Amino acid sequence: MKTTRACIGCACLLAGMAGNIVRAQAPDDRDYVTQEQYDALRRDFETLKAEMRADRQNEPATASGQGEADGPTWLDLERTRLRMDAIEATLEESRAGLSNFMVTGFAFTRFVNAERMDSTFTAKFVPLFLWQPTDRLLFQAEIEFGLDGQGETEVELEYAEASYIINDYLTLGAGKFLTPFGLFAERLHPAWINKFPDMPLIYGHDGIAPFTSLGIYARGGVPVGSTMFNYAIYLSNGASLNTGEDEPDEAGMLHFENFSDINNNKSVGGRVGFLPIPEVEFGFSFNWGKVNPSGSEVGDVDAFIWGLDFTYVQEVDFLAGLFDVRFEFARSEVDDTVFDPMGAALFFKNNRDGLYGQIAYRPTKSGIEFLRDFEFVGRYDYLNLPAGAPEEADHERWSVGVNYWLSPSTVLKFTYERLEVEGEPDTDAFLAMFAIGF
Amino acid sequence: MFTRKSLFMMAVAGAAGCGTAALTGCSGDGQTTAPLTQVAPAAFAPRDSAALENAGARIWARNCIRCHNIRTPASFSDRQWGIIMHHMRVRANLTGEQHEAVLRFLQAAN
Repeated sequence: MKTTRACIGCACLLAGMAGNIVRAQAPDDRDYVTQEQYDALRRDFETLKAEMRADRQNEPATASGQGEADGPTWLDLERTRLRMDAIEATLEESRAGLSNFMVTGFAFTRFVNAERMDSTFTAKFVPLFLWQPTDRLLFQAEIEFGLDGQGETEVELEYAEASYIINDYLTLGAGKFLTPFGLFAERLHPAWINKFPDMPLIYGHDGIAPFTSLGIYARGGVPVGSTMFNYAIYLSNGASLNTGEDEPDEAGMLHFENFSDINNNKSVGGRVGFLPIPEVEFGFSFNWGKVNPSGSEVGDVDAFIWGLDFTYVQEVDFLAGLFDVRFEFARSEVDDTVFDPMGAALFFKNNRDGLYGQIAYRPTKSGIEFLRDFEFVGRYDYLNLPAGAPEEADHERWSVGVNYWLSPSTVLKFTYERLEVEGEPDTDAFLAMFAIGF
Repeated sequence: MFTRKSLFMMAVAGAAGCGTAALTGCSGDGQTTAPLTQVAPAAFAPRDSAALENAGARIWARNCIRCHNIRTPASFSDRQWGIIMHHMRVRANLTGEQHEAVLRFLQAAN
């Protein structure tokens, strides 16, 4: 544009000069241009020539490649820049933290000093591997590394599953997954999330609620009006009933580590959660299936396990802190059957139930800054076992503790517990844990 | 035994009731509790970037804390947040809209 203007200006100037010269050369025109006028016009002309030259140098080469013959064109430079950007992006993606694969998880060291038992330290390292090949596909696996009593390293595949997002409200998955039953297994089991150094009584080896399952699932969340529902339904190998043939003391117990199905019958289960507001959630869970091993003398035995849970977590002004309340109840009902451990017929009504209620308070809005990192926790839980079973003593436990948060995912926990087992002396215990989520 | 159990459960119920009563009126920060539709907009809602980030901040602040302490946006890189939010979408049964909103917020605030 500038060039065009300069050309027009230049042409006018030349035309003017030519006119003057023509007039000067005309024999009948004696009005000569003065030297001063000529010099001024000459200066203007030189200035315009310089501007035109400068404009031409700054002008990009045309697509036809007509640029400066003695150097790289603008197009060449642009191509090089794009190539360098691509190389830089490739290098960035290969840097740690910038690929679609990452390792997160948690680790902890725990100390337990219980009456009539040797005090001991334990430690575990639990990495969680996440790989997201596409926006819809996710593979996740959590592996638990620990030490057994003999100092050997124990490795356990906590879960390993692949999930695929179908749409905004539905995700399908398969593999070994944390069972969507209640709250603890799926959401609270990592040591840096659990408020206590140990699990509630209804979970674990002697518990009644499933922790992991092997199978397939469908899950998601659905907003309804001003509320929110979430759901999970699954089909899995299911629980197995301990018939007491190999472990007489555990006759009637359900085991959930049934990773190769024992009866060619799959169990079905799920959970529905309702959130009237984001801070409150109510849940109902169930699990139903056949639990007797194929060909076992106990015959066909079904088990139905169901549970209720409640969560309320909110920062409350008048308490100047974060208030966290949780409650879970679970009950397992197993069909009547006769067990035959050690050759002696044994019958009992095989129903079990248990619950835990937990409160935590952290003065996050306290005027004393030091106090904001402390958390005060209390928990009550019990486990009722069937009368007449080899293991029939009911358990009841009280726990109180203080946690100190070094960072949002690093915590020191100190807990005092009293365990009351029916027919046995009470057991007091002190537990401490250092847990870190990474 | 029964008395202590009852007392504890009453305390839990009382605490929950107390909190719920506080919730019905206002949230912890003294503001009127926003309806969940505001933090979980319907699928057909316009996907305006600023509105999404705003909704994402609210979902992040009010939902993540239901299970664990909130980690700051600076805890992970943008790419890592993408993977973690996918993981959390499955674990916490988030909708696609909630997932996108929280991710946008975390990456914008990072």
